[in-house]
Parts: sequence; C-alpha cells; structure tokens
Amino acid sequence: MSARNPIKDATAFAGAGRSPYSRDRGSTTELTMVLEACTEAIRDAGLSAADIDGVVGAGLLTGGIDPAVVISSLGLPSVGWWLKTVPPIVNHIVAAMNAVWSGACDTALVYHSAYRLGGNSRTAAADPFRSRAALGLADGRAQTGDGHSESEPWGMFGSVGYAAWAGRYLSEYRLPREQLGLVAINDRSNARANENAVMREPLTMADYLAARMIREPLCLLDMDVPIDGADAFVVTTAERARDLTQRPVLIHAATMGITAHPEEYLAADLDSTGQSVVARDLRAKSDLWTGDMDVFLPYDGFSIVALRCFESYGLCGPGEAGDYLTQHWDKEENRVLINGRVPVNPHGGSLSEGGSQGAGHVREAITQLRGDAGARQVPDAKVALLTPGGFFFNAQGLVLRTD
Amino acid sequence: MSADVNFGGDVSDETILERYPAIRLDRLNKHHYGGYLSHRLVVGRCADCGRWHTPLRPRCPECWADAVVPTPVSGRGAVHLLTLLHQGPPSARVTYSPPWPLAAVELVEQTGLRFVATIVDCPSDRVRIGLPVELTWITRDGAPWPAFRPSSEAAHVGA
Repeated sequence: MSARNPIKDATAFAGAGRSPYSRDRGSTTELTMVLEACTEAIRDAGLSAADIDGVVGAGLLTGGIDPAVVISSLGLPSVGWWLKTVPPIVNHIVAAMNAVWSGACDTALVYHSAYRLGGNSRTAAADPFRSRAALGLADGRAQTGDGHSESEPWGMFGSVGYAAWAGRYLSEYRLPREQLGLVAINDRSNARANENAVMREPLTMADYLAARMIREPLCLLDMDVPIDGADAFVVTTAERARDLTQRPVLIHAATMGITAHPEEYLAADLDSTGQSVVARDLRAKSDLWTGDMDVFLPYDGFSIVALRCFESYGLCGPGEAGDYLTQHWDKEENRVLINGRVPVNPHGGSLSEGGSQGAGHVREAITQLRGDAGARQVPDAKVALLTPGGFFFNAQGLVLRTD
Repeated sequence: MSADVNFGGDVSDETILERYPAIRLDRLNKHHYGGYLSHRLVVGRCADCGRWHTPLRPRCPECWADAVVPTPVSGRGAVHLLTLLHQGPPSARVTYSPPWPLAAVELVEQTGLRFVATIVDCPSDRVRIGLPVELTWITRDGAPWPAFRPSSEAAHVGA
C-alpha cells in the first residue's frame, strides 16, 4: 500500500449527467442511455464535444459500451486517451483522475451503464434482444479467466459468495437477520426524498422479514434492484473546474483494494478483505475521515457489505454494526442519522435507488456537495465518504470535498 | 507446472472435453476435472514447499516454485461457508425446493484450503457452519461431480 497522495484535491468533478434509473426502460438500448447521460454531463459542465479529450467507461452485465463507440456516437473530434474498464465506478474514476493529472488528457468523460439481463430480471428474461445482449458470456468464475466452476449449476461466485459470508457473519456474532434489514429500511426511508429512486414504498421490519428468500440468509431486499440506467461524469483538473459552470467537487482521495486470495470461498475472514485494505489505505491517504464527513455513502449492493462498512471504517467494532445503526436510528424518519446529523445513503442506495455499481453513490455525493439535493440536502455538506464495491474483487473508497 | 502427472489412469483429453462440455477447460484445469472421472478431488500441491492450494494454479502461490503437482485430497473437512439457494439458474437437476445448499468446505489438509460443492444426504435443518463432512460423488449430465455429505465419523459420535 501507499500512503502517498500527491494527487490530493488536484482533480475534480466538473459535470454530471444521468439517464434515469428504471426497473424497466423497455425498448431502449444500453448505448441510448449512455449517450443521454454523457451529453447531459458534458452540457452540465458547460463544455462541448471538442473539450473532451479523454474517455473511460463500461458496464457490468453486458460488459458495457466500448469507449470507441461512445467517441463515434458523440462525434468527439480529438480524443487522446481512452480506456474500457470494469465496474464498480471507482475503477473508472481512478483511471480518469490519473489520466488528467498525468497529462494524458485534460478533460475526461466517465460513464457507467446498467442494463438488465435475463439472469437478474424476469421481464428482461422475456425480452429476446436482452438475451442477445450477453450472448457468449460465460457464467460465474469463468469470467475471471481460470475456468473454474466448482459446482454445477452455480458456484460460490458473486451474490452467492456474499450470501455465504452474510451467513457466517450472523453465525459468528450470533446476530439475527434484522440487523441486515436495518440497512434495507434505512435505504427505503431515504428513497422517499429521491424521485429518481425506483423503490419508494415505505418498508417495515415485518415487510423485510416476510420478503422472498433468495440466497439464504439474503432475501430479495438484501440485494440491489436491477435497473436500466446510466450515469456520466466529467473529470478535469481542479484548477480548470474552478473556471467552469458548476461548483467543483474535488477528489481528495481514492483507493482500490484486494487481498492475496480474493475468491469468495477463499477469503480468510471478514477482517481481511479488500474492504479492510481500502479502509486502511484511504485513511492513510485522506486528511478527512469519518468524523469530518457530512454524508456517508457505504456501498450496499448487498446489505451485508454496507453493514460491514461501519465496522471496517472504524465507526464500531466487529459484529457491532447493527447495534450502531440502532443507536443512531432516527425513529421519526425511520432511518440512520449518525450523531443525529449524518445520513447514510440519503438517495436510497443500491437497494432502493437502484443498483449501479456505485455510480449512483458518486452522483449523490456530487449532488449533495454542490448543494443541489433539494428535499434531502444535508445542510452545508462539504465532505462525503464513499465505499463503492464489495469485499472481494472490487472494494473501493473515495473521499470527495468542496473548497 | 511440472510435467503432466497422470493421476487418474488413462483419461484422455478428448474424454475430459467430451464429459464436461460446459466447462471452459484448459491444459491446467483438465487435471482437476479429469480427476472427477475417477472420483478424485484433485487440487494443487507444491513439491518444493509442500503447501496445498485451490483452484489449481500453474505456479505455487506461496513460494512461486514451478513445481505444482496435481494431487488428490482426502475429501474430509468441515463446512466453513454456507448458503441455501431458494432460487437460482434454471437446472434440470436442481429444483431449489427444498433450498439447494452450497458450501465452502475447509479441507483437513491445510488451514484455509477450501473447495465449494453442494451438500447431499443431509436434511436441511442439519446443514450448518462447522458440520464435519466427507467427499462423495453425484452425477450431472452423466458425469461425476464432487459433493459433500455429513461425515460418517461424526455420525458415530452423534455430532
């Protein structure tokens, strides 16, 4: 690891755009959504095609749209740096900030798209075009290149691995499922104030406990909501961002983390995961920490990931996150307010706004730090801590701030 | 990896390719899947440092020696991670009712040496983290696949 952070506050988000999240955008295409988000982001920054000289992006389930296709579709006349990468979103952001900072480009367009497929959505399974969207993609572990699928019809990969570790967490600390449910309820309560969230019906603990069990102990409400939608961001130097239209959101620190044997079934324990590496490294790089944050955006693609964030980031001890949430629970609003002040995923997170590999969390942080969050605005928000990604292959962390 | 080790009799590449059509086979993992055909659970073991590993790698992840020998394990261990799938990918063999258990079993050969498979011959309410298990074999599409069942030793002591 490195505690060095010479890029601190040197790059910034200058624009943001979105193609609205939906549980079913029907006949749209993934490229249509990416272009909607990208054009909105570039215009939001007050820029035009000729200003974009770097492009980085991709989505998860289909692999997403190649930068060359985005460059062609938007007619970007002179691009000097581009990269296709894999979500979560901090992969994209780290690439963009380093490219800008090193001089590979001046202004990078960053995009991410989510496009439902048959594997995670019943309505998508009935759509013949969506089944073609992932034609030829191998299942599970085979995607990582070692060809191993230990069990048929499915191994302990991805969501199944999170379910297995959630089970071990609850078993080890002798905790009830209600502790996971607190994460889902907090998100849903927050989604009430976010018109872009796809799940806004109030949720009670009884609703949570009655939800359909999918991968025990994780039920339907412990797993992010599959959506169609896209986000895009414009990253440039902090100096240039200060000359543009929007209040710059500075990238203070960013990290990624992985351990020697990150496979879900091989992870040594929950105290030695990519998430632990990120928490340690981000703390070393950042001048701002949990006591400084005005908004906390722990990743919640699975409820257990967010729950563990409170422990990995030192807000409480191992096994104590559920008690921590209960202690900081605002009964009136039926959500968490840390020390009565700091909301947790005020946009509803992946569990209620919709699953977008952390792109929604970044969008919310930018919205809050610009002061544009309307009914859910945290007063005078200046610092946001984000933890996109999970435990194993894709843990990430991000500290954003304003001047 | 050291020279090809023929641990499973005379299983040809063609046979492994034919029996496991859905697996992205290569010249390394063929030793693992080829082992299934003779009911051996084959993982990596380093001839230099003696450490075991899963999944099979071309070089020892501990000491980096180019001396990995595909070696069968005893198949004894305990459930380390467990989930019950109430739904999952469509399968002619798995109904998910009752929920289909999937376990990461920590094998006795070495701390942290784990392998993932389903649990059979065990009522749902007896499957739990810590359960002592042993290797057994099930058939999928006419080919053997590893599975685990409660260990007979444990049954004797009433565990």
